[in-house]
Amino acid sequence: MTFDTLAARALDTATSSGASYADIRFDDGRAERAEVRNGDVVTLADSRSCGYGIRALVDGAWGFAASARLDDTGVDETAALAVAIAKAGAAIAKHRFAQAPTERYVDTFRTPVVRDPASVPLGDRVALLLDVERALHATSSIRVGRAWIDLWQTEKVFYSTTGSRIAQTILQSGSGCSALAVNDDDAQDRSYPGDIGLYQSGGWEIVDAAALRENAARIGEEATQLLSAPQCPSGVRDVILGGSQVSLQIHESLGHAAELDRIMGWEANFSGTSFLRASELGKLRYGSPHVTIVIDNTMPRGFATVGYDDEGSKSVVDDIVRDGVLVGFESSRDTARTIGRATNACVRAENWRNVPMIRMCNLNLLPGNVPFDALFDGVDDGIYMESNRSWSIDDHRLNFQFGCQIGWEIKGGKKTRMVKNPTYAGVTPQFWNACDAVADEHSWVAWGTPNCGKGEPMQTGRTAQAASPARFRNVRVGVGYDA
Amino acid sequence: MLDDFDAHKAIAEANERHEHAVGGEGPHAPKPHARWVPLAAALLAVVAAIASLLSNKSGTEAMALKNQAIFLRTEAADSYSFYESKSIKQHLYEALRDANPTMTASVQTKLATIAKRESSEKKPILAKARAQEEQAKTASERSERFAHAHEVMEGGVTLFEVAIAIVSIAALTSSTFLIYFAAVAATGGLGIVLYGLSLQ
Repeated sequence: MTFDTLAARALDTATSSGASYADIRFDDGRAERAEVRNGDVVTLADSRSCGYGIRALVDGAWGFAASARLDDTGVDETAALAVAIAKAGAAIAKHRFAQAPTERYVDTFRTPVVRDPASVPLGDRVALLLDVERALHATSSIRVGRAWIDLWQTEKVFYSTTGSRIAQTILQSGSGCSALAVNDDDAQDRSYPGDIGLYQSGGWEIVDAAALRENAARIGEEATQLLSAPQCPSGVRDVILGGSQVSLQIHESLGHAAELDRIMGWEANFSGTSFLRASELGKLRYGSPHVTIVIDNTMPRGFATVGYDDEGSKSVVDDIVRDGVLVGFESSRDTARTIGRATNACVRAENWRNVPMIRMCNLNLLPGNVPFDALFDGVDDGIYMESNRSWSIDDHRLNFQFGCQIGWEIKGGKKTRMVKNPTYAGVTPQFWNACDAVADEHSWVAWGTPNCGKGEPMQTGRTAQAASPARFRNVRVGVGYDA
Repeated sequence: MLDDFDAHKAIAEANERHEHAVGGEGPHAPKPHARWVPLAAALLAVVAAIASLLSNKSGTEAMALKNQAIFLRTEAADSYSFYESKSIKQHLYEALRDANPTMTASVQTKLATIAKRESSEKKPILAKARAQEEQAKTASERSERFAHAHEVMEGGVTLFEVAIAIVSIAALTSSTFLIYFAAVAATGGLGIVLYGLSLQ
């Protein structure tokens, strides 16, 4: 199906109605999910949604409207509505950040795929999940076993009045499993990979890479062992976080904090604001010199990897924290201009009906130069924690407390006994400044997050934070401590 | 398909074949048993229709019970999660009390009270989760019984259909042997259907 004719009509209608710039984004998305719980297939969902969103710029104000009516009348009405909304905004706007872009791209992008998920029969997918879920019941203490697969394919075509025409085919896949062990005194959860599964861009090879069959029994056994494990000790200790937990740490304490729209107060009503200020660029020591965090929306397998964002900007690699110093924010064209920068193409909409806004994309902690095992060297008394279990952070993204599913004490540089209910707390810049080592590229994984919420009406975004395990010194561990 | 079995159509076809068989003259004059063959076909068709109805009912019941089992398992999983959250709170309050030796006795008592409350509140939640899990298990087992019964009864319905077909052929060929064969098939079908009903 080609959208060229409808797009031309929509853009003509918008400009003839008074827009100085307009773009239209067609989005045809398919989402498939299969889930098995305790031997039953509890979810087999296959949904598709197709429509378009139109942005119109009038006198420095944006209007947005969306529709699923793929005919002349539909695009005419929707384009006119977008312009009308822009005019209404222009009539009352005190500050006008928006300017018409000048970039023009005619390009295509397709997620590199090794194995098309469509080539994997539904029966094989379900058989995999049934096998994995069965293996989770490694002991009789496992009362709830779950295994799931998510697949997305999105066709997007973006047109603008500057002459851009960008066609993208984006495939994203993910899978995971979890086991809940229960006895008369306690219940303990374990999941794999990480806390929500492995989500990346690509095809069935992402599901294969998760190696669910190979790890399910171990996860069930660990959940059972946690039932009789001692409580994680409390106090100030050194902490090593597993890669998926570092990923969540990035997501919550930097990813959201460095969204420029939050910093400008545009998200204060729902998502919150940020403790960061634009004036701190290049000055704030966000973390130790071991901490370099970059946006890379071009990386293979990154869950948020695309060719272009949803306002037609080309994906780039851009520093956010370089050697510990805050040097950038996630931005759109308009927000970036306010700080004298160019956009780093972090604008996304959940689907055709949602307005594009700044979203965390691939935000990666670059790997360090020590092997994972070497992180334990020099830790006399510490805790190694894996897989998030709970998170709590204030709406400035400054004070946080996270809980993990499993931990191990570290004594004399060695990983020793397992502990349950490990938690740690901190203040964002203090915590990142306490990082004194990041594991190397051998344990670096592009962890994806399929359920990031932001905006009002809320949009669910697919983000990623590639990370390897990292070590932090003198962290407040557990719930009781003498600070 | 068995689900599409049409008793009226089967009877009409049997009657048509009967008419064709008995309608001739001279050497093709009707034999005595040809008069009750259509009646037998009609009776078999009625029994087959009833068996098909019972079989489909069993299949529907199996699916309904499976849905109920999944629903109960989901409720059990939710209850286990609730139990887990209570356990976490209990253990964290206990840890908080134990890790702060300098805290006052009153604070220690307060923390211990909260931990004890969480501990006592979680017990009925665990019992509820286990009961829901047991109910789910029962529903799932019943679902499997109904599903198995459905499969067995479908075999019986098939034999009834075979019997009807054989009766029709017997009417056309005036074969007494085939009549006996049809009787065996019908008896077998009846036995299998009754066995299927006993499995529910």
